[in-house]
Amino acid sequence: MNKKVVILGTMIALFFSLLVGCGGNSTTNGSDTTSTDNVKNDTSSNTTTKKVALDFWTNIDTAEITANADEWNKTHPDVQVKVTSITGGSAEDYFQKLSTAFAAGVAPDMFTMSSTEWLKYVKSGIAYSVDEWVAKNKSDYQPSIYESNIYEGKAYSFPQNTDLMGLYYDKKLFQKEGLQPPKTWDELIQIAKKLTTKERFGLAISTDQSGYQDYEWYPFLWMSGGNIVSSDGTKVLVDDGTKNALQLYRDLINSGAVAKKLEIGAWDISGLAQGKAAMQLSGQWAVKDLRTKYPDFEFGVVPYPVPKEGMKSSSDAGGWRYMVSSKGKDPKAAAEALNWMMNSDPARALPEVKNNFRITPRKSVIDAAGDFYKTSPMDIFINDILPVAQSEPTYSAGVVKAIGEALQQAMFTDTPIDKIVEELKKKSETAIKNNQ
Amino acid sequence: MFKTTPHELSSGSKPMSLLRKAVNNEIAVGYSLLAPALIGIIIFVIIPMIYAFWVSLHQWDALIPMKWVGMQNYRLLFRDHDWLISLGKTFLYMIVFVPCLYTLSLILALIVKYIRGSSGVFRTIFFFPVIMSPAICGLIWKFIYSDKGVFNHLLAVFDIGAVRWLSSVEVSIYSVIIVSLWLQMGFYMIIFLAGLQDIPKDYYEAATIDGANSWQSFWKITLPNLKHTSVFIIIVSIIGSFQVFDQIKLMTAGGPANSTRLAVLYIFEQSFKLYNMGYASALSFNLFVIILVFTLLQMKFMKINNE
Repeated sequence: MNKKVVILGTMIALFFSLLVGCGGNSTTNGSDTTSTDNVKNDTSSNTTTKKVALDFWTNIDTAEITANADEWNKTHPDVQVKVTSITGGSAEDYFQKLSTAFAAGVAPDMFTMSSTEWLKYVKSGIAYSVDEWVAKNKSDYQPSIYESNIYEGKAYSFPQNTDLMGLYYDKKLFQKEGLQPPKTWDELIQIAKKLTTKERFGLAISTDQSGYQDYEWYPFLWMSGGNIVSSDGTKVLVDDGTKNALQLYRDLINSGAVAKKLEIGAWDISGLAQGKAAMQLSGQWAVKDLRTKYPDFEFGVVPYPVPKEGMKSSSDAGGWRYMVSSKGKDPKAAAEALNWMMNSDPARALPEVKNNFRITPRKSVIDAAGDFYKTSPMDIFINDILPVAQSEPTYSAGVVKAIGEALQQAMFTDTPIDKIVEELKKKSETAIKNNQ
Repeated sequence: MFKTTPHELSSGSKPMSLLRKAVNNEIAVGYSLLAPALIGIIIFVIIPMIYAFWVSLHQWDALIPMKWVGMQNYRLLFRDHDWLISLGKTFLYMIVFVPCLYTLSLILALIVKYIRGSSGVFRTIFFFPVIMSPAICGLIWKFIYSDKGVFNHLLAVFDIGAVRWLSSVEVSIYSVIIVSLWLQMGFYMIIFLAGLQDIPKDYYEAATIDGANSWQSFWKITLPNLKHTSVFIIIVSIIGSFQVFDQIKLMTAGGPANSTRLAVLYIFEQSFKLYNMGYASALSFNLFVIILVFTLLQMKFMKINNE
């Protein structure tokens, strides 16, 4: 009988020892960082202030953020920031990981968040208001970006950068064929058709149902005067403009000049650089890949083509923000650290902007960047695309789903566009009614 | 003279007898050996299942606290048009996938068993996809299937127009099935092979003496003797086809136009795209019941056959 107990006990103990490795890391990791980073600062341990180790999750620009955090850690022994890079997947994968972490209670103290998803974190009470720090610096921000960061009168994040979409094209190929980049939708289709060969598509766009596909499509929607939901999120505005923008995607797919299925992420510019497409819609972030991975490839960028000549182009001002969790170990200290990194000395924000070809929302950073925004192609983004850009909408998940389904229907089925628009309208209304 | 039981007679020193006593206590040893697996199942399967059921009675988006809604999620799912379409697609997948898988893996097993000198090489080749991760397969096949990819280049050689493998609403589900077949037939081949090895040689010898050709011995001997193997394979592959996820997520993500959004993918979408955790859990239980019913039906069918 004793043996049984011993054997059982050993087995259970063994098993639980295995499980320990899977547990939350909130306590162990924290003390680790503090002890290793603070070896030099022995004096600080004599003071009575409590040491805190903060976790910072990011899915972009890890190198520069880590450099900033290291700098902060050197001068602030009591508040140590540990940066964890959650890269490798799409933005949606990152959001999944983050919300699961919040559900499981192992979420970071601060994190990067996209402008489409941030509102969810504000409304759920997770976001810690950083108004105290951001409002002081109000005049430094571009007004539209500053406004998009306000919820019920308070700022809830440190705006980090703005992503802008444009149309990239293969410059050499266009020169060889004697073509100019398309200015209208008709030209876009014609030129794409002309440049399609056995090995190459004329144009690469996102074809998988995703937030990114919507993001890429919205400028077409806005240019044709369409919209989905009013900015306060209560009224459905689906109309003829929506219809035209959906029709464009159907025409593009049916032209045979657009890749119906991409092998890699649509945001990845490799397709254009490797000659698999002659044109591609992408954001300014693609410049980094083009410059580092394909230094010999000659490319050009133009604003999105317009529906008819003389009309105004459009773009999508998305982007990323730094947020602080109100459920973290010390939200105030976390906000102080982020303020130090992102909201004070422009020199500290500059490396991230320059190395990753980001559009900064801060005027002081633009000034500090010198010629960076005055040279091609960043000048096109700043001078031609930014002025016509609209903030990326923060639609609810139910509306986003309806939009995604409408786009897929337009691209891959024969359902009449009128019917698709009708359905989109109905689904969006239901989603708003059910608060989804 | 000592009075001894037969057990003690055979035992030597005192510690040995103690050990023997413990070993004899079969139940204790049995459970203690089972403990690691059992605890694992309780922690990683049973408790999450109970928790999922608890979640399914709530409205929860993972960020704000759960709100009790009772059976509302279950009532909703019967009216969810998209869920019913997803289930329909899953049935289509199953109806095509299971017979194809059965036939293909049986053919492979026969090739490996009866073609002389082939077994080592073929077995390795056929089994190879099984050891690959579905995620990697999904990625590789995405390239093979792409509009200007390997398959369409091959078709062009024979002057056949390009097929929109993953970008056509009609074709995409079959493209997915092909990948699933490629991925899994090696595994079922091994199971069939084990079944084939179990059939006594005498049967075939007797049949040959009686003048049966190989076709007849296949129908009259091989197939009937593989009945138990077949039932196992059909049950497992049906359950598997209800749960298919990885390769689809990677190749099509349910598209185009939701044409490959099978049941589990729909549940995934509800939970991790729309963050309807409660509703997604209710859907999972719905799927669980469907699989359970299918399995019970098959077991019953198997029993009738056995009698």
